[in-house]
Amino acid sequence: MSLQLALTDTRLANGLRVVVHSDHTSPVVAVNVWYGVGSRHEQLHRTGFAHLFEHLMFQGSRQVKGTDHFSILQGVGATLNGTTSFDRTNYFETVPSHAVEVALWLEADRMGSLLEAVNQESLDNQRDVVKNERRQRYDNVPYGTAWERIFAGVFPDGHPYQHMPIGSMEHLDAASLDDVHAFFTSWYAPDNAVLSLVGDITPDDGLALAERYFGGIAAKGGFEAARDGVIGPIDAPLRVEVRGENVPSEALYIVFRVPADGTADCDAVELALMVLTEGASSRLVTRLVREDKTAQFVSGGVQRLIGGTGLGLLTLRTMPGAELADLEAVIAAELARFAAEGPTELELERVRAQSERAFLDSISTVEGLADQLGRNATLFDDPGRVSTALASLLAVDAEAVREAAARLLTPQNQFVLTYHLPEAAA
Amino acid sequence: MSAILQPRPTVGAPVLWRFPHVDESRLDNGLRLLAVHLPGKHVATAAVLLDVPVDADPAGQEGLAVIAARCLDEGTTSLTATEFADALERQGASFHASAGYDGITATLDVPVSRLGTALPLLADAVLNPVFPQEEVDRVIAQRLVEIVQEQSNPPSRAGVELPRLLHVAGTRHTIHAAGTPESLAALTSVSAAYLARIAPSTTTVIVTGDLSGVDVPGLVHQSFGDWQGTADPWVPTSPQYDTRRRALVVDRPGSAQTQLVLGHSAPDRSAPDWSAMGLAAYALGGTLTSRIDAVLREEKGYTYGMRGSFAPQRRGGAFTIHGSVDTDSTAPALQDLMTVLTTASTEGLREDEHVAAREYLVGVSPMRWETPGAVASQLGAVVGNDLPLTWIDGYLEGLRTATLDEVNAAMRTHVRPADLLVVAVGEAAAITSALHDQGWADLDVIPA
Repeated sequence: MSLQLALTDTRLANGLRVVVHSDHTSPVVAVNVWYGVGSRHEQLHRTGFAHLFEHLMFQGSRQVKGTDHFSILQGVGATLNGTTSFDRTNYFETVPSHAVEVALWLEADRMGSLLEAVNQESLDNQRDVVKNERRQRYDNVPYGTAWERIFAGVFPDGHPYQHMPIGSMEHLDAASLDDVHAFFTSWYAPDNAVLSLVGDITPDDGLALAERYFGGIAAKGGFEAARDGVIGPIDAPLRVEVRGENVPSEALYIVFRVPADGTADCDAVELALMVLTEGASSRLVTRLVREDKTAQFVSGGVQRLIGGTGLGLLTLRTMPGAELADLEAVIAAELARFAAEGPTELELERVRAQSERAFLDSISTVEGLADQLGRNATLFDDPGRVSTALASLLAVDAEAVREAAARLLTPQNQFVLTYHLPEAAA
Repeated sequence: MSAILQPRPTVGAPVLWRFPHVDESRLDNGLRLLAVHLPGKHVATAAVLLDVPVDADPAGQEGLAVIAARCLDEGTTSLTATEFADALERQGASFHASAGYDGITATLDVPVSRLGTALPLLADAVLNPVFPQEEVDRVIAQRLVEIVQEQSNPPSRAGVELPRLLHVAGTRHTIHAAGTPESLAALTSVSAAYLARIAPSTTTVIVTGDLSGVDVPGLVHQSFGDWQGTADPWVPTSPQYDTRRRALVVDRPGSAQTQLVLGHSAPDRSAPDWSAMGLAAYALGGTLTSRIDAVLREEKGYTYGMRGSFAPQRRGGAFTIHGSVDTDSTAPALQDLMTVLTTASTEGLREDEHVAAREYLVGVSPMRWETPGAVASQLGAVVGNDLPLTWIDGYLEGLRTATLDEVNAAMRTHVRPADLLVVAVGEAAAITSALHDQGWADLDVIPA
């Protein structure tokens, strides 16, 4: 399919990249700011900092008191949030179009003057909030630390993706106001950001408003590159077994190091894993969930990363009585068969159709499209890639999918994480 | 090097937004059709609402409707489960079915260009399911594992336990909608029970998306027009509340946090002051600047976030507050929470809080109902809960026009701190006394 999106892509004199797509269907505008800083840019003894910092961005700036960022935007009927990931941090709001200037003013105020408002009290408070976020999402739920174990295990010490954005409790405790200042000064500047505007706004108005609100913020330049993350497949299989955690079922995660986002290999591996796990007629769901009835579910996919590597993943939880080793053997056999035979045309047709729907879903809201524009501008220096990335994925043929699977989804290139039942319940 | 920043801009007047127009019609067999054209939305949602609510499950066989919903795509009279999945997925469609007190909803998401091919598959699933025993047994086995997962996950566990506290023992509302190991073991003839309940006259089909050039009534007629049969509309069960002020601690030694859910009875969406109730709930617990999080999160850092809201059912419902706090902060967090609630009740909300709630809930409407899925889901909530289509406009009008006095009256009537029951999932030894200290003397502790 071809998707033609009319975009304007401009840079202000201070380096802020402004991308606008007009869509006057609904009286709303999505405002989305991507900063080119994520957990991979963190120092090894300050993990979790990019994310803690994201929280501080909602605690006021020169003209914005306390949590007024939230109350001002919600007071005009806007939705808003921020997220921190491995490669970037983003801040976004969808506002009724009559209030778009307020959103731009707020984003500019914190981009230009956050440090004038940050203080020990707000740092201490948000540190406590983030520690409770960590407890809630990781430490207090079964399998909550699986991803942390995976990233810690699949990458070597010092690798930029070896730790999760949430960071460690010790590092959070150690974060000081000086760290906050240094982090802002290092990364938060118009020339390390992309502003995407999608919705009920013209390109001319969008650009003029961006100039008006962000134009007085100076460029910084000299952004440090993240540590080199280029790394090939795993040399010899790695394995971590978790015993003694109170999990309700056994679980298996098989993780492969695969090429970075934006490569044909990354797309090919994603299609291969979709043939194996996406939907009720996929190979592994059919075999393990429907026929053998040994798995509660099987799922798989690609964690797209930009810095020299990405991850392919297969995961499942067992039904009572099933042996993890048996399931792992079935997966190994299915991977070997796939490497030899590749997908059928029907399977490829199915996963292409699913990818197309998922993509259309992802851009079906102004917020979703603005996010995609910011992503492609920040990580690929090409917001227009939003129109072509799907076509590239859909163009990968059966032999390319097979070949990538044969080369990358191998027994050697595996980090395996297993959760086992506590002894008493086994 | 100080940035030159602009002063805060003034904001113009908002555009009055209306819920999209709903085209309502009926097929000759009585089936109701609601179609909503949403320009530019190229993935359509088609939903079938069937009058198979969970409270129609035979006594002792609770979970039947949920299992039936989960088995709709497990094979039809003409397609095996795998053939069905393959046919659907090749259209880029996804299928999902669930059941609640508002009946079974079977939903299809599919690119509009493929609606004509996918809609017959949706019809096949809901009209001609065969419920093969082997697949039913497998889906039940998966539900039994799901129960174990629910027990071990603190938010799920608290959500399962609260209805057992809220309602009179033995009544349907104390039993999980998706059943218990005992009731699922007793399930017989899912097929007969399902087929006896469905009929065109009690069914609604909802289609939303960019429908320009699509003959929706024609497509729906092709797929559902030949369906005949009758069934009596279900008479919904009203919940019976147990109003004793009780607490339940689910002991989970070593917990990093205490998962809290507090609740008491509340009306459903048909309440005349429903909009005022929504405004009050937002001011108390809708966001991180609301009264609860302003203290518990932004001042004290006890939690990542605690929310309060009304949770309506088809009949009746609850006001609930939920969130998790680190174990050591459980006692002060509960104390602060109760102080926030009683202060609000005593002093009332301020006009600025009322305005903030109104401007948010009214202004967010175009975002809230931006997607075909969200519009279909809202219409499903209206139909499934026996409300007229005019309810949505009335709700929005109520949000715009409720006065501060009306909002405070709704809050004092429907948020009653002294009536709150509480479920706490966490380390019992560390938190039980905190519940006693806040007045929950009638307190049970059970193992996780």
